[in-house]
Amino acid sequence: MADTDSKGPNYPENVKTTTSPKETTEPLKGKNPGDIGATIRIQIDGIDVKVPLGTTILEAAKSAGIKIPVLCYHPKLKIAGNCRVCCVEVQGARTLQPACATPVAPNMVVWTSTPKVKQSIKTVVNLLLASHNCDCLVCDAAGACELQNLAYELGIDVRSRQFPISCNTLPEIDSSSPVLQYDSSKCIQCTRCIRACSEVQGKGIIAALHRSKNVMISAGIRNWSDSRCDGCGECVQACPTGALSQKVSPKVRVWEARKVRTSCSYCGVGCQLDMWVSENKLVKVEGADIVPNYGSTCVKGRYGHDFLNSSERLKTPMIRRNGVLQEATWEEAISEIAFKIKKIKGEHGNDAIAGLSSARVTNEENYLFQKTIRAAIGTNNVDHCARLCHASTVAGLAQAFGSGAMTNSIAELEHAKCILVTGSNTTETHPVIATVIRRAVREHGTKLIVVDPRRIDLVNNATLWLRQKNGTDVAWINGMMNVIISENLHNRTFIEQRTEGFEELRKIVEKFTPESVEEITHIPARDLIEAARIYAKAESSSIIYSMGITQHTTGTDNVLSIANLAMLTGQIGKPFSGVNPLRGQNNVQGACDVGALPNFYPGYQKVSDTLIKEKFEKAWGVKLSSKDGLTIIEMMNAIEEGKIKGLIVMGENPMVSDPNLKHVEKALRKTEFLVVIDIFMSETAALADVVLPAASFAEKEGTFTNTERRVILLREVLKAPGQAKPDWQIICDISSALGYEMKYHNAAEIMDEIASLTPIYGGIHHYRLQEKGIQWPCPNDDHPGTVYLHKDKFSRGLGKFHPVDFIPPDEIPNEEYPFILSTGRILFHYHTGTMSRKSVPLNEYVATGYAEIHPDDVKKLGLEDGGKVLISTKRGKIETIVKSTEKVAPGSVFVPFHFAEAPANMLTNDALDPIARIPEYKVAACKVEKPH
Amino acid sequence: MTKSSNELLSDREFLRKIEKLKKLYPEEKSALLAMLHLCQSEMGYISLEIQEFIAKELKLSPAHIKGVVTFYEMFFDKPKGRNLIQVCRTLPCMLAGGEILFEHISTKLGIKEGQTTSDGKWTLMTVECLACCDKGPAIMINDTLYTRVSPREFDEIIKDYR
Ligand code: SF4
Ligand code: SF4
Ligand code: SF4
Ligand code: FES
Ligand code: FES
Repeated sequence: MADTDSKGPNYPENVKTTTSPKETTEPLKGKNPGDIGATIRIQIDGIDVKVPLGTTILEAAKSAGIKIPVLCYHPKLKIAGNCRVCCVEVQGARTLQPACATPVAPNMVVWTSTPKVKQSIKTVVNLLLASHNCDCLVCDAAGACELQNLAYELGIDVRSRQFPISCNTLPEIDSSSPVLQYDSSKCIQCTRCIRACSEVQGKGIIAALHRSKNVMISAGIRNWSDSRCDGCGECVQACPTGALSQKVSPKVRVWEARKVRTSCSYCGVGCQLDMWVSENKLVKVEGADIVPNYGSTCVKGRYGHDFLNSSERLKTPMIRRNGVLQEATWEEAISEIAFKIKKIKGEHGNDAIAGLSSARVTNEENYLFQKTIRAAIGTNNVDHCARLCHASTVAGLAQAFGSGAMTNSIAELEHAKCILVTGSNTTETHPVIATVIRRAVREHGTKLIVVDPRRIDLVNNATLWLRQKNGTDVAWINGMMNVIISENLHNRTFIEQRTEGFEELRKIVEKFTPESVEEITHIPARDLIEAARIYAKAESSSIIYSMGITQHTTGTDNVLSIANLAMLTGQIGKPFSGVNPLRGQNNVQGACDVGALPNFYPGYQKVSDTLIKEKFEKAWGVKLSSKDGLTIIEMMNAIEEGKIKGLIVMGENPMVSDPNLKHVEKALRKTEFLVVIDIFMSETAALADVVLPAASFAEKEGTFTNTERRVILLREVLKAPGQAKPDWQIICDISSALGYEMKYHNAAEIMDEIASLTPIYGGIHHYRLQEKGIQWPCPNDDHPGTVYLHKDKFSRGLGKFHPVDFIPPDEIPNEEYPFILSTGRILFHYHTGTMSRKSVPLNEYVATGYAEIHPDDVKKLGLEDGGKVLISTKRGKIETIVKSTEKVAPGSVFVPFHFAEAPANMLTNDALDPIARIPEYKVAACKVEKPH
Repeated sequence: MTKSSNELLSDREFLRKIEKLKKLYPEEKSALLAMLHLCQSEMGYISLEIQEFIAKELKLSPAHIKGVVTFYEMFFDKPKGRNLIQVCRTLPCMLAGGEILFEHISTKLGIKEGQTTSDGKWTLMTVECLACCDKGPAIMINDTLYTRVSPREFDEIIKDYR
């Protein structure tokens, strides 16, 4: 390799190279997968580089620290090779070769900056600029634009136009989307946006229109908003120029802002975000290119955080005086709380006080909150809204496996051979996980089975869609197991070595033949059999479920059945296979982990276990109660019965989120003393006696635990408005005022205390979380964390089968209430809307509540799409707007619960699962009629 | 030749043909071009509503359909006149007077490239080589080819069209 031409850079015509042309052109035909892995040597700009076969010249150069300019190339996307700015000389090749698209070959000799290469790049860039609207002076992308940077590096003089100006003659700016804007005069036709929408998001919405100089991209056929684009912004982030840009923002350019990495505050995916800040205002959000989201986000994460800048944020503490909330100082507010709580304690005992912690605030804050309730007040009456979503998961999976969390990591889904999604409208509730699922299907041939009463978006990608009748989940799961056992598809070795209780299971599923299951669930026997075969036979199968499984009176049964199915086939405890409950809110996993539950100390250590109690008594230096506390719904009942007098609510809004709202409101009004800590004046805060202004997630440090058990860091992006303080400081103040001294310097110190008391968090400290966070269990400081659970051994030792029989839902349609009502979430809003409904773009997408009703029913009932409808159940009624859609089956109605003015939870049934005490949000009998 | 989108979408015969095309290829989406030809022959052009219909049938993004329609010059996304004049704009024809001919046609009919006369009689387009390079300038009116067309001859030719 040393005998390169002494004249320096080689021109193909004047050198005899050490590699024959045949060898160098061969790899152009494409990668040969069989060869990938073997390491070869090539030379780039005179440097020897060793890379695996299958690497491109571009990647090889990068590994040697040699920079080759690119425009159409993007590391997350497939290679397009259309811009030609990456062209390099390959010895022996007839023409310049695109480095991004050319795989290396043994002994290849590459030159990246010969005069010929430089000339070629200049020509390409000059050509691009000839058809480019070079208004860098006023362009939002200036400073971050790859074309501008390249022109700058090459020292291109735009005034000496090398080529005549040839601009697109078509209309230029499309700003019809609520979140983004497309300017064709700045588009370089690199197709990165098209590939991002198709390959990364799995949506394939964008296409290139027209030809030659008029080529432009579009999502819709009339304009952008005419398409199915949901505003995830993947395309905007992928665009190298100012052609696609975010619409909503105060105008700021990169050099005026600073970037801070933090975690998204919306859902349990826990996307890592890069937030750009200027003058203490959030100006832009980008997906960080790191686990778990690798640059992707959904519309909420990227464009829905403008609520942080809202003028409606709470800025001062308030105390109710003469019936009205009035501004007060922190000292006044805290001493008022201490006085009232002490008084109630003195008159009615410790158990007359309860606390609602929050899945929205950090682990550290949840830990301190439960510590205050337990140590400073002396009761176990602490719970949070996980009760309303995954209590049955925690209960069910703990019984079956010994621990209740996602068994696998999000990234593993992409490589599962079969994914079964049930009771999770993943596209709307965990958008970034849905992109992983779609990628699995589109790029890796994964078989997707969807079992859902609604025609959810993922049905479009599914191999099989089973539409069960609401509330019949145990039946179809038992049916699948019946098929698996009768066709001998169960995993005997796994059952023998890793589980117990198989015989009992076998007996119970015997009667669930596909035919009898069809009768109960309305799933055609043929489809059920096929689903069972696909799931059982696949090399790896992963089950994803969410509230459609848990929010039933039989929630725990449903979860147990799912666990049975996974164990029966041995589809658990190995990579890509497992049982994966998707946790809804940003930190619902963490709030449970650190003990915001009435029966568990941090780390699911039982309150009723004396040894555990002693451990915490010693650590906290007080006597603790050994009596399990009350759950949310039980608290509300106890308030009504006069047993609970004082309630402290941190970052929750039971006035919208809890079932049977009339009842909740009555209870909250009845409390003798209600404290609410929040960032906005929520419906619940409006009823409080003391309201304390909290710092939002972006204004403090701490950690969240995402749905895949990953503990991730929050960093301070902005200064909190007015006198608002981080919740943990507020709790410390309250606790100290109550006489239980609490003092920490920062959130990291609190996490150290959690680690010392919580075995699954044993090795979790802030300094270890900087890059990627850590997935629990992580027992000690040297432990790297756990990617998937139950390898070789279940947390409880042997996995336990729990035979469960089918029980119909608590309420079934009858003559008076003939429709089935289910409730849930939508993409554009989040929980009770306290944050998302203050976001301008999110409200441009969806501003009001509605009810999805099948077109046949709409017609039958004389309703109108977009018109009004009255929905009532035994418990209450709401008026809302008709959305006629085939997503729901005839006879069913779906109402999103985010909207306080048409609160779905006026209607829902607060009948409880007997074990997990979770209410039945997913099935209620209702009446649908035209408002009179 | 000129059904409206709605008429077409409720035409059973048309829908049957669409179904048949869908099954003709190993992959449904391969039927796209054939469907576009079918629609254009029924309507004279391919309306946005029809593009949306095809997108739904083939489970593709509507923008993708529009991309194909706007890529190929023989597809029209707007209604065109009763008669379509296509003037060759490739070099040999241009050398043989194509440019002057085009200017003549444009002035005579009072429309520019891509436009349709207000009475709906004529649409004017340019195209690449009509494969009559030795007999330029060449034009095509509907399906009829005319070669060595002088401005005066053009005036004669169009008298036969209504
Ligand atoms: S915002 Fe997302 S969905 Fe919309 S076009 Fe871009 S990538 Fe596709
Ligand atoms: S919009 Fe941006 S990403 Fe898309 S083709 Fe144009 S320049 Fe490339
Ligand atoms: S809401 Fe969920 S999916 Fe969307 S950006 Fe935030 S964490 Fe990611
Ligand atoms: S970056 Fe290689 S061709 Fe565009
Ligand atoms: S150049 Fe006009 S027909 Fe070929």
